[in-house]
Amino acid sequence: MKNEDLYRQWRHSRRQLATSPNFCLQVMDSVARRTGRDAPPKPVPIPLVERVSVRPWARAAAIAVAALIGIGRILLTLHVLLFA
Amino acid sequence: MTENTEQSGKRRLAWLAVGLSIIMPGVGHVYCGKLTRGLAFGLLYGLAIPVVLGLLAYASPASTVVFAFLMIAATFGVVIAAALDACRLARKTRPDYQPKTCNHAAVYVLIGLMIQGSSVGYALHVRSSLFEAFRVPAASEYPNIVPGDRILANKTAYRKADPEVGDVVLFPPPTGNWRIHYVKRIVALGGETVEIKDGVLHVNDKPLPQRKIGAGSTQIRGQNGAPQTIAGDVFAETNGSATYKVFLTPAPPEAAKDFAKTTVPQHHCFVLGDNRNYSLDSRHFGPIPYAAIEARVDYIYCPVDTWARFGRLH
Repeated sequence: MKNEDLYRQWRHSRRQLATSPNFCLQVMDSVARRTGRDAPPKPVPIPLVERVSVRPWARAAAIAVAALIGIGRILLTLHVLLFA
Repeated sequence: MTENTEQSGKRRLAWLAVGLSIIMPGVGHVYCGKLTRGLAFGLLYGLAIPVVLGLLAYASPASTVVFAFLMIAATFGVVIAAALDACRLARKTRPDYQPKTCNHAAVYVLIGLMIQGSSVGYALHVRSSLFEAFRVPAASEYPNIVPGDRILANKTAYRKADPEVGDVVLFPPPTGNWRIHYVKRIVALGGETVEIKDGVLHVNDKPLPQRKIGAGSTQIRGQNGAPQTIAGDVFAETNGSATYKVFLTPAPPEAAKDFAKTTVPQHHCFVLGDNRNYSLDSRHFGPIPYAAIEARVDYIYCPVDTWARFGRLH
């Protein structure tokens, strides 16, 4: 059976449905709620490394912090050796 | 687009490899997937200071200043070499680099702690077997060691040789307080006689020649515990082949003026402070056995007044 024949058969057999007086409002509410629920998802947070990687000043700052940590660690070793 | 983001996430970032290597040499290599190479750099870094200090202990370099720079250069040289090598490795990695088992933040932290732990461990080993650092609070070795000076005591000095006259040695006080150490100069060895007459030191019945080279003053702790300034003259005293500076005050305490003739037993040495009139030494507790000597004081590495005294203790 073709789709068109199916449609005609359904059209002939349709009957009046009893609906509540605020049926339209309920439908519109439902549509509004569904629209809110299907809002586009929040963007996935970009990892810190990626964010630093795209900014030259952030890269320089990261290496400067690394240098401070490295020098501090060497000084700690020398402190253990010579001043502790 | 998604695939590109994933690829860039796996790519080894040169700046991150450099940063990790600066924080801890070797970790940048592990980040680039080169675990063995990273551990090798970590080992190299950990050994840099101990090896240089070992050379200092055994080789007795002519220039301590050059050696200090060498130690600094060795330490920072390993860090810089590791950073450059890690940067090169990161740039060589393919954009679709597949992370290995070692590419995990916890592994980086673990390896970093391991390398730092080994570095501190080597440092403690150096302290216990090669060089130990001390701060001298007293003035008994003035003018050669000023109160507040920091010294390096060489623990390898007497492993293959006996102490010699003129050496400044470090030993625990014979009174039994093991928490402190005494620093004194050896003036006579086993079999020799020592005597002080009118403030002049005699070894084997001969007065030691003294030549005045200047004046000086220092602070000592008085009888009531309050600081007391003493002034006097600095002499160059020659004892055998050794010449060193001693400090003599014009009016020495009565107890320091004379010391009866004493023969030093074999395998013992007689020690005196260079601040001859204000020192607690063998005149009070007798000659000390060689076995009690822990180290020879070789270097002043942090002089309290002027950096002109940095280096080998003469």
